[in-house]
This record gives sequence, C-alpha cells and structure tokens, in this order.
Amino acid sequence: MNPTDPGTRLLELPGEAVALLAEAVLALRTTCDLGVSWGIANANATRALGAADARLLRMDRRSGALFRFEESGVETPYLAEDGGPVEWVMRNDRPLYDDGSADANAPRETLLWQQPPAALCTLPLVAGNAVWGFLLVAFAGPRSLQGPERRFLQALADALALAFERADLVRALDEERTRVVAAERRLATAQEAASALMAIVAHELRSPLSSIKAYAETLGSNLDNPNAPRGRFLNVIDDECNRLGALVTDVHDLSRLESGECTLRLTTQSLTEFGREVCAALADTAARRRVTLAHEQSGDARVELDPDFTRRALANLIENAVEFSPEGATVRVRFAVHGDEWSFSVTDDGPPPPTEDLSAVFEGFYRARRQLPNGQPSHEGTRVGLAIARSIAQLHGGRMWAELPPGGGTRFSLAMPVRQVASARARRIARQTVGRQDLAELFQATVEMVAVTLETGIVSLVLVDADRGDLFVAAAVGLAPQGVNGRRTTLRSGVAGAVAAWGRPVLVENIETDRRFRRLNHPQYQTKSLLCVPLRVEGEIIGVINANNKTSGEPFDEDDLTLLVMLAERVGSAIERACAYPDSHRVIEDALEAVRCMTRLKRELSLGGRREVKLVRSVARELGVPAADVDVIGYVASIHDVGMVRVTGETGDSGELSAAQRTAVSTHPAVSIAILRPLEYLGVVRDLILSHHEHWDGTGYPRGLAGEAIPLGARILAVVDAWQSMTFERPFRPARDPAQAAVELRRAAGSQFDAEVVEALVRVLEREGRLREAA
Amino acid sequence: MAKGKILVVDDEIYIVHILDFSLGMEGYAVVTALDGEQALEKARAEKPDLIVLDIMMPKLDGYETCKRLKADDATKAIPVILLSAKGRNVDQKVGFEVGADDYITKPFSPRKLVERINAILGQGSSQQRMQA
Repeated sequence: MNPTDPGTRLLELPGEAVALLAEAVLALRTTCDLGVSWGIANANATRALGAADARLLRMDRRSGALFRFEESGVETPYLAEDGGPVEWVMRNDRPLYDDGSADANAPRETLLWQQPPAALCTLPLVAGNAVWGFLLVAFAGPRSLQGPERRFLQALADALALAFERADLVRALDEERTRVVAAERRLATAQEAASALMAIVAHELRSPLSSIKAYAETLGSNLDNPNAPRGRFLNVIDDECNRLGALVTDVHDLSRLESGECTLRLTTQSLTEFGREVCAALADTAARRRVTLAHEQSGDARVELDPDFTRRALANLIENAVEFSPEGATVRVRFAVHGDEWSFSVTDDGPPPPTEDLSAVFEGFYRARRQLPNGQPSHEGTRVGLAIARSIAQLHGGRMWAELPPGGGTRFSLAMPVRQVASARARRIARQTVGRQDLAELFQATVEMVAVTLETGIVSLVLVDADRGDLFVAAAVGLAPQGVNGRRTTLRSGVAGAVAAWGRPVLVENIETDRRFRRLNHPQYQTKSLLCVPLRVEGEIIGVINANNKTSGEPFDEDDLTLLVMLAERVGSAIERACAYPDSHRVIEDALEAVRCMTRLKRELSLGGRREVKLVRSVARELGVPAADVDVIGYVASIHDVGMVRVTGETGDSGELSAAQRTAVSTHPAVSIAILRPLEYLGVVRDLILSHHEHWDGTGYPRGLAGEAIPLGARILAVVDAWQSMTFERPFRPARDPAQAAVELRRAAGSQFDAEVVEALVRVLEREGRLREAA
Repeated sequence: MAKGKILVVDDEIYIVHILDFSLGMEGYAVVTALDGEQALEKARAEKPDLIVLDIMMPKLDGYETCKRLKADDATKAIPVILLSAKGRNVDQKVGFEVGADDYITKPFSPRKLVERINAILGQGSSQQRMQA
C-alpha cells in the first residue's frame, strides 16, 4: 500500500468515515423515499472513499432486468456490459474490486459514466436470499480498497439491499391490502346480491305456484260439475307450469351470470348488421301484439361482443317494451356509436312506471308495479329478464339504465365498450412481442421444453392479440400441421380463452365431465385431460400455454399444474427481459439456450423426469414443507441437473469416472446455474441447485456445507436423486432392488444424507407400496 | 238471490278468475279490480260485503288501499282479507295495523278462503245450508 495514495485518507480518518457511514445507513433505515436515501448514501460513499461517482442498479426480481436508479427515483433500463463487472458479480454473487492495475481498457460499464472510471467496485445488494441490485463505485485513478474500506462498502451495500427489500415489502403489503379490501367489497356485494335474488325468486315462484294450487284444488272439487270450465283450468295450470319452468331457467342463468361463472365468446361484428338481425328476430313477437318495431341506426362500428348473450339482453329489453305498449303503438329501437362505446336504447309507448321505481327497475318487481295496457296482465317471460340483461351488459364491461324520456313512455338503455380486452399496457406489450423472430424461436423452444418436461404429446402457446381481441397459436407441438400456426380463435372461447380472460391456471381432469368447460369440448382433446396456464409479462396476460394428451394416458394432477405454472413464469420473465432490451439479441439468445438445455436434459439424459418430481414433492410434503416451497422444490427437481447437458460429453458409459471427469461432474451445479440464469432470478432456486451435492457431514461439493446449513430442499433432492439413480436401469448397470436401495440409503444416512429425509422417503415409498415386493 | 257481494282485487288475472269462479259457485256475487285505485272506486260504487285484497299490486299496494278503505266512512265497515305472497310474520302485523280483518298467504286454498269468508259474513257453507 502506497502511503501517498489519496485512497488511504479513509484509514487516516476512520472517525469521519464511520460518521459518514452511520449517516448513510441511518438515512436508508429511516427514509421511505428510496431516491432521497440513495442520494445521501451516494454523497457519503464518494466522499468517504474519495470516489469519482457511484451508481445504483436495481434488478427486477421476476425478470432479472436491470434499471439505473436515479436520485429522483426515476429508473431507466440498463443492459449489463457483455463480460463486464455486473455480469461477473451476478454470476458469482460476490463483490468485484477492480483496482485498475490490470487493464486500462477493461470493461467497466462505460455507459453508466460520463468519464470512464479507472477503477471500479461492484457489489451485489443481497438481502433475504435474493439479489436486489448492484452498487457501483467508480474512481478517477487506479485505486485499491483495503479491508476496512471494503467493509465500509459492504455495510453500505447491505443497507441499500435492506432498503430495497423494505420498499418491496411495503409495496407488496399495499397491494395485498388493496386486494383484501377489494375482495371484501366484492364478497359483501355478492352476498347482498345473492340475498336480494333469493327474495325475488321466492316471491316470483309463489305467484305461478298460487295459480297452480288454486286451479288444481278447484278442478279437484269440481270433477263432476258440468258448469266448471275444466279444460280452461287445465290450460291455466299448463301455462303456469311453463312460466315456472322459464323462471327457474332464468334464475339459474342469472345466478351464473352474477357469480361470474359465464365466460364470453367474443366475436367482432358490424353493429348495423347485428342490430338489423336482432330486430328481425323480434318482428314477429311485436306483430303478434300489433306493435311496430322502428329500428334506427346512428353510426356503425366493428364491435366486439358475445353474440348469444348480447342478443338475449337486447331481446329481453325489446320484449319488455313490446309487452308494455298498447296495441298499435311503436317501439323505437336505436343503436349508436360514441367513441369507444356503443349503445342500444328501446323506448316504449306504454304508461310510465312511477318515477321512484326507476332505480328498482332491475330488482325483479318491476313488472309487478307497472300497469299493463288494457288492464291485461301477461305471463310472457319472467321478471328477472331485465336483471339478466343488466348482468350481460356488466359482463361485457358495460352498464344499463332506465329513464323517462320527455316524449313519454319508458326508455331502457345499455352501453358496452366497442372493444373488450386489453389495457393500453397490454397492447404495448403485445405490439412488442408479436412478429419478433427471436421470440417466435423462444416460443417454439418453450413448447418443446414443456412437452418433454410434462411428458405430453400436445403443447401449444397461444398469444392474445390485444388489438384484435382474439387468440392465435404462436407455437405448437403435436397438433395437426394444417394451419395450426397463426390459427385464430376468439378470446374467451374455449379453455384457452377462459384462462386468458380470467388469468387463473386451469387443470381439467376430464373435459367431458368438467362442469366449467364441458361445452368447450374439442376433438383435439384425445385424452380428455388438459392443463392451461396464463403467460404473464409485467403482470399482464399475454397468452396461455396449453398442454394435453399425456403420454402415459393418465389425467394431469396438481403437481403437473404447479410445474407448468413455474415454467410459464420463467418464460414470461424471459419475454419481459426481451421487451426491456429490444435491441439486444443476447438476452433472448441466453433464454433460448436455457430453454433448449432443459429440453436436452429430458430427451438425452432422462434426468429430472416426472416421477422424480412427484417423489420429491411427496417427500417435501411428508416433511411438512409449506405448499409454496413444495412447488419451488418440485420445479427445481425438474431442472436442477441441467448443467449435466454440458458435462455429459465428457462422461463415458462405464460408470467409472476418470479424475478429470469427476472434476467436470463436480462443476455441474455451477454450470446449471449459469445456464438457467437468464430464466432464474429467485435466489432460493439457485441455492437449491448449487447445494444438491452437498453431504450432511460436510464432505460434498461445491461448497462443503454440512447439516442444516444445506437447504432442506437440496437435502431432499440429494436423497431422491440417489434413490432414482439406484432403482433405474442405466446402460452400464442394472437397476437395484428397491428394498436394497432403501437399505443403502439408510446406511448413508447421517454421513451423506440427512437421516430425517431418508426416513421420510422410506415412509412415502412404503405408503405407495413401492418397497413391498422385496420386503 | 246472492249470499252477498265480494270484491276481489289482484293484478294476477288467473287468481281473479279462479276466485270469481269459486265464490260464484258458493253463491256470492263477485266484482273484480286489477289494482288499488280500481279497488277504491269499486268499493265505493259497488258497496261489497267483503273485500279480498292482494298486497303486491301496481299503482297502490294492498296495505295502502286497505288504509284508505278503513279511513273512508263509506267503506270502513267492509271487512278486508289480505292476500299475499309475503308470508312473514312482520307482514301479517303490518296487515292488521292497517285494519285488515284477516290474512291469507299465497299459495292458498280457494276452499279455505271461502270458509273464512263464510265465517266472517256469518254464513254457513252451501252444503251446510242444504243439510239444514
């Protein structure tokens, strides 16, 4: 250390440096505004170390995308320099102190600085088993940091990481609170609506029942009375039974509509044609009551709607108007387009309801309170018709209301959005993803990877076209080739549409008996069981991944579903990164390579198969691991040996490894992490992959961890891996008898394996009857 | 000669028809109304001996109609039987508060309604009279 080096000032002035550090840490601990905190930390760090400048990079935990974090709180995307310090730190999870002695032209994230630094410190911000970003401190001249200075920077980096973590927790808490409040409100509304509906239904049911009972009883006591119009009595009973039946159907439909069980099957149509069609269908009904339907159209647009539902809503309103109009009257129907909305209104000539009833018009009693022309009540339709129309409008994101127009009569109106889906954000993402050749390759690699991972014959990746509001197949395996790619279906038609619309992953055990999707059966569903999970980018659904026709012929189960959800999340994060750096080919190529390695892992090495994933999940559950962690461990079980794809070329078929091969194999956990990095930003996943060859007694690799320092998931993977490799036949050695394999596992318990995990595995195997034959 | 005149008020035309028939067979003269306003008019004009009044009706509901009948010197002596799909006790209470003399819930038995009417008007049934 050169004592004249200006960098030694810190060692000479420890008191000041400590004061600056304390101030910076305090700011980070107490200030909620990250920008302000960073400003203080930045100023103090550069001053204490005599640095030229400092930068803070935030890493998105889901996508791994980097953002330069400014003191103003503004973030701009940043792509780490190829082979640069940030990439090195990201890969190695430890700080890099580049003192500038090696190479003046070494990569130092040049784009971040006004003056390229001569020396650069890069520290990962690690908290809670995750990397939150990077701290970069630049020096104008060569600079070597000593122990206390490094600890100073480390303390600052830790404080920054904690501040990021806290900001994230606060945000998550806020989101959760908002979600809970919204859920409570929805629940309360749903309960109110349900009890109001029950009251209406009870009342409505009593009316026809009263007639039926009165007429049946009277008929019974007048069987021999020649003066009783018995035929008419029977007609009335028949009429009222029909009315009761229609009511039951309507009420059932209404409850389905209001509970959100119905999904729309959207098509795009000309509003003029649709309006003409609706009016033509009702002309007869109107003519029968000697009422004229006048159809008026103001403007036209291609509107997106579910034609069956919408037709029914409009028919209910028109029939209602016709019914309340006196003979010879005209019912005026008007369709119009205003900007993003189209509207429908129907005005009748009938006597108006009392004004105070307008708000209660949809509550079902409406007809009961309205005088019919000629004093003639009618029994056509049911009183829940208006409520059904309103629910259909709401399902389309629209609304419905009633008013008394100045010209007399009553007017019912309905307004619905011209387009059904997609926020502006979803459209922006869709525009970024559609038509990109590199993404098309990633989609194709993804469906192939999913097919081998889930051992299924048919996998398709379907994207939402936010502008057109429909779905198209972007990549597929196992589907008949004719016109598969690019084939379009309407949004919310079929299972894929429902998942895209509602955003929840779906497991269908049998499409023919599934309550939700029975009617959406399709000949391509050969095995009747299917999975469909949403594909999200920045939280917006951009499409879905479908899987069906499992090779084994069995139905899918929850384990398959969670695995597909995990895989879809990774693919989503890769797309997110690709969108964040639209000009970089490297981002997508890395992701593509990771996905392809996962495919090769299954195809060529048959490692991490479905049976292993299931066994790992069962053992984790047996040990009382929480469900969310079971999912992560199961996912890791499927991909943790991906590094072997690169190692395997060097291993022979003999079963005996040379010293060189042994070294190569021992690096495979690290290789796995390197391969998966473009998809994997969860620290816990990396930790499990890295640790699954550690031994309980500390003699394993690569880090020599021992006992409970090894993550539980990794201990489970180690035991199940050993069991799988012993009991499955390999080219170079026969499979071992299960009972004997269990004995060997127990023998290694306490040295190589965690004894508790071994016992959990034995219990699982015994329960499944897999040890019985040899016992 | 009719036993008496009954005003039947209900917006359900089928109910009006069947009560017309049943009461007619029992020997009563029947007048009908389809809502509360008609009911008030006919009660004054026809001077019925008893009124069967539905509660859920357009324009003027059964409670309000009953209140007005009982407030009018010309009609307050006429007994009123309320007829409604509402079956809860609280409705019955409201019914008696507005001055109704009896209360029957839908679905109802026309025979039992006739028995109540006979009891209120102090008439035996047609069979009893024939036997007597």
